[in-house]
Amino acid sequence: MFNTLKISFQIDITCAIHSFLYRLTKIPFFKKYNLYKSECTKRMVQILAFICTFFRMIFSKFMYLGTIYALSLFLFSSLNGEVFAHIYLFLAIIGCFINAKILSVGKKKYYSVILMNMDAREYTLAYFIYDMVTMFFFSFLSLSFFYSVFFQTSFLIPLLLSLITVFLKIIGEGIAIWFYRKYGYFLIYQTSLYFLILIIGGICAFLFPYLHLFLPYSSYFFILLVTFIGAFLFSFYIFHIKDYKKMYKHINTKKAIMNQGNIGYGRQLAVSIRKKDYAIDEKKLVGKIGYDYFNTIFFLRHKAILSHSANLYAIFSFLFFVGISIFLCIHTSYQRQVLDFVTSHFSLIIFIMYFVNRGEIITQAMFYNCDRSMLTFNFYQDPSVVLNVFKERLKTVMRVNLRPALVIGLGLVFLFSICNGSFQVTYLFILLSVIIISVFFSVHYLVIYYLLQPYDVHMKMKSVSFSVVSFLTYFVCYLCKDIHLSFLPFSLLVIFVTIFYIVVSLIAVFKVSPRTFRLK
Amino acid sequence: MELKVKGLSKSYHQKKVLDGVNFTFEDGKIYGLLGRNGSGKTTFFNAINEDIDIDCGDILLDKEKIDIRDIGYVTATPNVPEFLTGYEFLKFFLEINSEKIPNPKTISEYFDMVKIKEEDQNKIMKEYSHGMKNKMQLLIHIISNPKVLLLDEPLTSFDIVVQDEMKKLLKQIKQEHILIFSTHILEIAMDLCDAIVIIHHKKLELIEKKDLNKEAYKNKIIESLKEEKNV
Repeated sequence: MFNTLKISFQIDITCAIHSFLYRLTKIPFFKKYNLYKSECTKRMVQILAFICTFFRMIFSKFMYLGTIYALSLFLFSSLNGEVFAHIYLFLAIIGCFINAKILSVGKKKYYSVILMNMDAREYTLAYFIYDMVTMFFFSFLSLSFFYSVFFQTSFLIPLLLSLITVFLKIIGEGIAIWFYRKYGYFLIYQTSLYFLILIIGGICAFLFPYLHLFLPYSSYFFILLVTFIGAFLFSFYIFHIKDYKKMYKHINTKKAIMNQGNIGYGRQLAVSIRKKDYAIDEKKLVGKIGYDYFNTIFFLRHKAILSHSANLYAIFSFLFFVGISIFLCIHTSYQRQVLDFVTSHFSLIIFIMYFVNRGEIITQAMFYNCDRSMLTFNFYQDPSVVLNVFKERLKTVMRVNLRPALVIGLGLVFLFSICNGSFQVTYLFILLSVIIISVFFSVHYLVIYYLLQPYDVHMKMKSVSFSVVSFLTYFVCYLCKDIHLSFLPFSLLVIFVTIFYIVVSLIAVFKVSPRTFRLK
Repeated sequence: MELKVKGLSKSYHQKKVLDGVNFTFEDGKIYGLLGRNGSGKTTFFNAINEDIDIDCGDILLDKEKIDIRDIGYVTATPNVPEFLTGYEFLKFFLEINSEKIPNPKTISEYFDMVKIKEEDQNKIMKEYSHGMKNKMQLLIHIISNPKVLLLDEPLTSFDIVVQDEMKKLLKQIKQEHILIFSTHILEIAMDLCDAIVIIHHKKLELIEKKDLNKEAYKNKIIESLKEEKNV
């Protein structure tokens, strides 16, 4: 087992050295040297990698505890060691469920167990023991520091907490493996369970201490005993499993490894067609031909990704306005305050509509599920096809985004009417400006997609201009919140500016996009 | 009809992949493009299809600069819009190109050409196998009837029955097209193609058959390719 660990570390270090050298070769100065051949360089990088790993482990623990401490100080006026231990314990319980390591996807596992055919059981158990020992060491080191500096407490509580952390970790690993073997997928992939753990854990960690309910120091001996028994039983389970190799093969597939932490892959998953959308209502296609037919199918097959989220925003907005309207009808004294606030901060609507708009995800889905392949056909690059598809898409994108926009616009009109005691015709400008802003964002996202087409076939961002434009969009929307105009002049300004932008950008698309809308 | 490549060069950073390629392709022939791994076959196709910027050179179709709409490029990895069913894709394609396709057939006749069964026609293409996607890709290119058809390893994913049918189909359409067919499988190239062209010293070179029998011709091609690697 020791030998397995040793070989695995060697692989690890070799990977670290080579990835470091690879980055180094990208610097023009080093390009002329063959760094991979130099033993001296490799030795230096090896030492550096070891030092970095050691400090990273210490630093991450200190950062973790520091964050808990800072958050606790912010939430509780008086923070003592008992409250800190309470928060730490419940966060450790959350962590043990959602952060299981044995079954996590990892390049190291793929190289060692799958490619180099190392004994999966030995590999797992060796790393398991190593992880537990280092976890105890670094937890004890950092907790002792925190308790001695901030709470002037002896080493006993840090020792108890460190041991409990390790025992909880063992229990968590055991449960994760048991769940995977029984159900064939990860426990944390069950979204409802995942959020349940987070919510209950979060409530126990922060809400109870807020209500002055927290575990006394004396209880930690009992917790230690319970977690020890659990850890003992689960260790027994972990050590007796034989089919680690099978599990590793299922989890650490080549695709999963290569795409680990890959933003492009994340985007691909986010916009992949959901199985429930495969079957569509054929009646909705009756009478549709050509581009309209093509576009209608696209949106029907992406209902779960595109329309549902817009509908959800619409429903949430509706519930929000209903809730606030009921509140204002009951507590009439707040009507003036709410009216003043909404009037003076009306420009916030731009920032809100920026978040509500589905333009970005829609264009990503368009690229990944449609244009990525269609653009390999030369007929699809024909200017008439590009522009006809653009027109159909624009109509649908606007329609999708109008749902939440209409609810928000009407909700605001209703809110103004309640607060003012009557409906005024000028309120219609509120509705109009919200609709126009929604149209603006629909046009904007589609236009920059057609003018800058930023993705490569793997959905990786390849356009700096697109990133700059996206950032500027956010930044300008953010700045707009500081425009202090009442709703009428603001609405008129918005209507004028957005109509101007829409006209200019549409002209740009019609003139330029047949040349720019290509694969990267 | 002839496709003339004049002085085509392409480098990636310091590495020259194509160096002053001169070659003329004619209609009525299927050209088999052979080359070792990394010899530049895909680069050559990408250059003709304007997918990459070339360093210098001209690509002329009947003495005029080639229009991208005259080219069909069947890629090795089939690209089809996976959110559509085969039927929907074909219907959309035929509708938007109705004026450009002379004597169009019915959708089911087109599916018969590539032997896609009725139950598969209404399946979303995301669920298609590699071979089925390839059939759809090839079918669309054949219907769109480009003057030049570039085929990058198009037959390797087909089973032998479909492979045979596709070969017949390509032989049928070769009179009105310039077909350039890249493959690593020499037997397919020799069986299907009228002329074998190899990428040799970063240039295209026609391997003359003259009076050689099949075996001798095969050996000549292999020897030429071996020589390429030894340069």
